[in-house]
Amino acid sequence: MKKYIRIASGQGYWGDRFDAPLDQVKEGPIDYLVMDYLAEVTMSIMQKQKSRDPNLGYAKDFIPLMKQLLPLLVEKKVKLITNAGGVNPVGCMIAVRNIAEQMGYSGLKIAAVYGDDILNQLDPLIASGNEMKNMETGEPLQKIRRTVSSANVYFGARPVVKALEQGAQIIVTGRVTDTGISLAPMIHEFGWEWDDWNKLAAGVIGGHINECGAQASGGNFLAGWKEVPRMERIGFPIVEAYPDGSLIITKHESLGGLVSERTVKEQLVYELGNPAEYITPDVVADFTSIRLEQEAENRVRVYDIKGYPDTEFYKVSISYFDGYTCIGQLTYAWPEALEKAQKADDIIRKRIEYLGLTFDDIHTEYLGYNACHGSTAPPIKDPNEVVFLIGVRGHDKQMMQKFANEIVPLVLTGPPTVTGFGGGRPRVRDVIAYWPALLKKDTVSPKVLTIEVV
Amino acid sequence: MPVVKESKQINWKDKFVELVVVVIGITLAFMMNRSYENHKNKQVEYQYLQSFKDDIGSDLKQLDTLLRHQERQLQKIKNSQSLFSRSTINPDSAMTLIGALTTIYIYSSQKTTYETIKSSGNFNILSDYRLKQALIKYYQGMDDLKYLRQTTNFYYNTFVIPFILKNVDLHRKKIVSLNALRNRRFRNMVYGFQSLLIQKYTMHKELYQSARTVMTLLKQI
Repeated sequence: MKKYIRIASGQGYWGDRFDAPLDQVKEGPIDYLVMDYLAEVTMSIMQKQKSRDPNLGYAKDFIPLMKQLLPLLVEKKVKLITNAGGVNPVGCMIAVRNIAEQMGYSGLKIAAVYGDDILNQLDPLIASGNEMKNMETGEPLQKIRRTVSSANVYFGARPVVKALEQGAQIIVTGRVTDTGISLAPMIHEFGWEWDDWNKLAAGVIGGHINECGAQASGGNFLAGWKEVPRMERIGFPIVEAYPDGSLIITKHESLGGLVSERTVKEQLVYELGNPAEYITPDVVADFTSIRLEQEAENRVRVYDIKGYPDTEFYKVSISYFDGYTCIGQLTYAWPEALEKAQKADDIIRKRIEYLGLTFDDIHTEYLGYNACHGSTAPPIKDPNEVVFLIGVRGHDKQMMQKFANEIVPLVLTGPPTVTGFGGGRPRVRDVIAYWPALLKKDTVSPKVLTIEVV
Repeated sequence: MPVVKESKQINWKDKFVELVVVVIGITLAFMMNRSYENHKNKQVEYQYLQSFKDDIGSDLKQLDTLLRHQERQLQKIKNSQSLFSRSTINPDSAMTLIGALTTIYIYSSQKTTYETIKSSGNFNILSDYRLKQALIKYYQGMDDLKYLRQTTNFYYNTFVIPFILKNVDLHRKKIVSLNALRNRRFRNMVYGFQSLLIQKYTMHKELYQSARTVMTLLKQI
């Protein structure tokens, strides 16, 4: 058994810094690289892509990245685990296989973890009594069934561990939890039991620290962002995991960024409900038990973590079409910029009334004045410029389009000194809403498919 | 004018008997109605069960044949892989491999009863909970297979078919150039396809087991 393993975060979300994963492999020793691509709405976008072309449905820019990353992974014997597979992990795996073949790598094993996509199975699941009630409102899924565009179960570390046992060096998954992709290597390398709750919880916490990329190593750091060195080449976090379940959070010394107790704490409280019950498919972790200690510069020790048995449910992420939105904006210049923007708002609202348009919601913001802090923002006397932003939300597309047509005419029919209308008419966009639900674990099963490049 | 007060004696005993008779009457009517409904439901359930028996019976036969064919296909692909390490390639063995690669077995289940009961909202008419769960598991397994089937078809169309069209004379059933089989791309194509077929075979086997469970439960009722 290894004394410890180093699991590096290469990406916090789809669209994160492109060269970060390359730096993680190049700039120092690591054993695993984990990359998170999937947000709740992402699955819906991918499902849409797949419905247009059944060969798509995974993170397309993962493939050009792999052309640069794969030689480094092979050379340094680093294993990659990513949920870039979206709603077509096998398709993504085949695309990676093609790259490996073109580059002449043989003996390389690539695995796909799938089975999380339950869109086709929703009806039989509902028929068998799985109501998949909205966790926030308690309403049954049947209510929005016809508008559902994606439905994915969050799998945990188990199928990833299985892929590692099969010898895969590259593992592409569908909807596996952000924490599961970091926990799996620890279970695989240290042989942790599936009921060793404290260790599993430690792995989950390591995964939680890794899951947002540089947010744990100085990015988006509220308590001291000015202290963070070289943010232009910020080093993403690395979790150094030990067999006893303790962790060291660190980063490559050659890169910028900062790993301190405070940066790690900020990440720990990110997207946290009840800190004593952080529920994952593998274990329930108790964040209130965590102890932190600055061991050295850019090295934070995380230890004493407690965990409890997992629940009998998987969380399901369901997205559905919930109408349209349209947002228009114009910039008004000094003098009297705010008054002009307020007048523009008044005109648009009267036009909406005059045209007989009805919306579920109309929302106005004055960017540069009080958009972030609302009424708590201190007033500014005659600001240099104000961006007037007005958005509507509704279910009638024609009305949305009529609203969109009303923005640009304000340039010559409304208050003066307007600019920032170069984009023309605003676009009407679909609103994709999120439906979190639970599903009994025994109703779905993850699948692992491994292929070897020869 | 004297007011004549007419006092009327209420016979509570009679009223009570009347009330009891009405209550018993209504209850009996409900019971009869329920019993009739139950009887009707039992008949509908019986018809559904018979229909499921036919569907699952036909699925089992089909799956049994399919699994045997797939086993043979996988065996042929496995045996032919020794070709890759030989200095000379036997054209007959090569054609056996090509034959195994060009075959895709498709499982087409009898879903009529399931679709009917599902769309009519009559699923709860099935009184046996275990049977209901087993049916759901079986038909859900079929939907589960859909993704793998799509992926295998994509693989077949993108990698296998173009290779065959380029390198095999289909009219004479001969490989145009045996050297094409030594190519790494060909080997990768074979290994990838084999992995997909193994996975599909495993899922068919699981479906077969699920179908057998359903059949056992159907026979017990």
